[in-house]
Amino acid sequence: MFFKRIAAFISVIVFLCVVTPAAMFAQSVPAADEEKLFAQANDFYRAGKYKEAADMYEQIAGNGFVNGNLYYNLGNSYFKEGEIGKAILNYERAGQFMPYDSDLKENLDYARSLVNAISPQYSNNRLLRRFYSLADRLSVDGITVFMSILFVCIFVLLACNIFSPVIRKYTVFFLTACVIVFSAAAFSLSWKINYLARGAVVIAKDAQARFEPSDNATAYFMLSQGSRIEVIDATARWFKIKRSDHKVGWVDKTAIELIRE
Amino acid sequence: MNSFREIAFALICGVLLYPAVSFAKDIAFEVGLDRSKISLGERLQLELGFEGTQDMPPLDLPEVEGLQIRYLGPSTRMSIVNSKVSSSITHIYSLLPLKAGNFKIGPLTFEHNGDTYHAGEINFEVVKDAVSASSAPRDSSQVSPDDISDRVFLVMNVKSNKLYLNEMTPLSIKLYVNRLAVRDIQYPEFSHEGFSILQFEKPKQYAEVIGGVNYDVIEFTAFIFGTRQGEFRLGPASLKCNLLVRQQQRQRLPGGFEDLFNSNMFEDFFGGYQNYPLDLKSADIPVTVRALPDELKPQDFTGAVGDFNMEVSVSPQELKAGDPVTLKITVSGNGNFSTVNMPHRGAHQGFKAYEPQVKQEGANKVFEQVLIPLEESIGEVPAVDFSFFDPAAGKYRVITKGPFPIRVEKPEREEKITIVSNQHPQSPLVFEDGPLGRDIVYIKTLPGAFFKKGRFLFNNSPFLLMHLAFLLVFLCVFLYEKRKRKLKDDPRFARRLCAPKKAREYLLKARQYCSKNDTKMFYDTVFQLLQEYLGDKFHLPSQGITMSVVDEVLKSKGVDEAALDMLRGIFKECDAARYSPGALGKDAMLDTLRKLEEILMFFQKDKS
Repeated sequence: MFFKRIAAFISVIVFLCVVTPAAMFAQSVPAADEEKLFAQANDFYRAGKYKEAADMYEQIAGNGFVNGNLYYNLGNSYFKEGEIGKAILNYERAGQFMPYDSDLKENLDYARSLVNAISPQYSNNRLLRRFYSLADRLSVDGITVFMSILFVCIFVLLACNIFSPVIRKYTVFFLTACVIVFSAAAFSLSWKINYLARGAVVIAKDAQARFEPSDNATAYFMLSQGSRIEVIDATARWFKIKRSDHKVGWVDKTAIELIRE
Repeated sequence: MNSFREIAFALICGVLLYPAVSFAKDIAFEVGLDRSKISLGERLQLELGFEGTQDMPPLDLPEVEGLQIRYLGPSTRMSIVNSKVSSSITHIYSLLPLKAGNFKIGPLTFEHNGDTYHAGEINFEVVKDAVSASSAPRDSSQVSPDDISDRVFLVMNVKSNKLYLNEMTPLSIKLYVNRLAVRDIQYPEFSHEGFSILQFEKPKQYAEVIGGVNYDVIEFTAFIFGTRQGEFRLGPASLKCNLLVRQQQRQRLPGGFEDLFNSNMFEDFFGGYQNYPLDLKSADIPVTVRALPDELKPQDFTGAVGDFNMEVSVSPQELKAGDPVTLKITVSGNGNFSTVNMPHRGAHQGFKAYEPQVKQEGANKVFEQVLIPLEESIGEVPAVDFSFFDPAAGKYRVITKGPFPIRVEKPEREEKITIVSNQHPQSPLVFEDGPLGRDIVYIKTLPGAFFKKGRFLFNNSPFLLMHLAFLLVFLCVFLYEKRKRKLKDDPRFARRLCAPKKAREYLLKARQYCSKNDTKMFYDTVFQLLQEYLGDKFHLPSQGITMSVVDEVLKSKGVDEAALDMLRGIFKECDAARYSPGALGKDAMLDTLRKLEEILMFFQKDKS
């Protein structure tokens, strides 16, 4: 009887472990035309026609098809065109899909160093800063999958706790740990979604943040190209932004671009 | 007390007088005239200057025929430059010629405090006619800019015009100014093809007498050296400055407002001067640059030219094999330090030598080299040779210092010294060179899987539903297991739970007996149904359920009296049927069945 129950739990786990990747895979979509465009854009890049390459990558994104490689190559094209702000923006976008890509990290660091762009500062609290920094290195889907696995683990452990008094005493510790980690992951996912929704990159050179959303308003501070900022409000022509040092000002919408399209 | 005061006074006097006494030998005596040619009736100014003291009385000048001499008074000056105090006194005399001709004053000899001072003779000419404007006594502010070449001029000098290659020699450019106001003086420039020039030092300012005329001198000094052999011309030097001249006064118109506004009142008030730019030029100087001789050139000569000395030190002198020892070589002296390279060292076998650190401090050039003895058998640091060409002597010189004894001990731990290059062929490859440049990493060649923009897993409905389904399944299994466990562990609950099911089964049987018109079996089944149902419902032994038990137990549980009456009626019918089965017909069975359903319905609704 005991072995029958264990077999039932294992089958549930296997089911979920199969279904979860299947569900993830279901996110990707077949895009044969876009793959052709991608190859053509790469050819332009190889020929040194960076403007044409960037336009073609933008066309793929404009069709609603995106991934990390596309944004990475788009960032490279803008970099070669000398538009460092746009390059950094697209590297940031690529980071949502492949945060652990070493080439991406290398290029982003180099681009930032060229324009003295301000790297994101998450919090003044050291512990929170580490937590957010870790969360920023994970993709949204990555955190979601991690939470899904924890979700399964929690219920498997609960089931073990209920159906098998023999291993009940061993499950309490792991169950508690899983619940804590799951809560932290849920918090980080919430923060990440919120952060991505409000994150933006300065694409204009020497953009000025003003005290008011008006062309005649007094300039408050400068925003270096490629710096990551947070959008907290918007009007028809202006974004109210917050810099990493918590200074708040109004910037013309053409000077910055949201990371999440 | 008095003796103390006397001693203190003597000390103070001694301190104060000491410089006067010591400088007595350095006093310079100069004689100068403000002009060398005047017209009869004009006065001339004679100045007798003593540089280095202010304690000098006026001289009694010898009488000169046709010349009236009158002492006007002294003029003293004291200056402190770079903590050096200099003082001077000038006795000024007025000379009035009484006739035309050439006059001569001096040579003058003057004795004071046992020292004798000499000055050469000075000459001047007195003419009957008015002298030219250039030599006429004028105020500097009234001078014509076209006629000043003898009152402000530039002179360039080089100490030697025959140099060796890379030989350093001082070059001076002097600006002479005689009673003119010169402003905005810039550093001089000059062509120096074939020469390299070091930076100009801070200009010096002093007075100089030339041909009996006093000049204020500003001297610019720099060091130059020839960079290739041949005949060259140094200069001419040029210097830009502004001459301050008074504007020509306009003729005033008499009367009225025009007179008022055209007057030079405002100009006079604000000075009425203007700057006149001057671009002075000196003569050029021919300079010959010779190659260094090949004869007796030392083998280790690396091009140093000058007069140098060398000091060498080694520290520490006691060390362990593998520890560093610093060899410090200091080259000092005069010459071209840019040609001084690291002096030659003897064969440094048994040493690991690092690149020397070089620094120049004024007239010293210091080389510090770290050496690491690799063996404890080493007893000395080899000698150091420094060869240079002395241009004053016209020959090469070699300075040798060392060797320097050192004591090298065994290292505390016997280990192979690892500072030598790694010769192990199997060692892992280490690249010590850094990147030569930096650029972005190349593009990704494969597109990878595409996603719809804005779609994430967390808002993927199938993904979320899957988790919800999992949760529901888990809850169902959990509840089922819980119920199952309760049924197993709680017999009251289990009996109560299965009571309706059993009742339905008995009821079905009773209906079948009713339809068959089998009175006995029908009422037996009804009786069993009531026993089982009530037993299970109220957790009582089923076999012991009778009318009296029903009255006793159900009354105590507060069951409705009407329901109890109905129950009593059914029990009575069952008893009657058991003893006289023929007394009850089908109608009675149907009635009993109806009442039974009602009573079951009642107990099902009643949760007590």
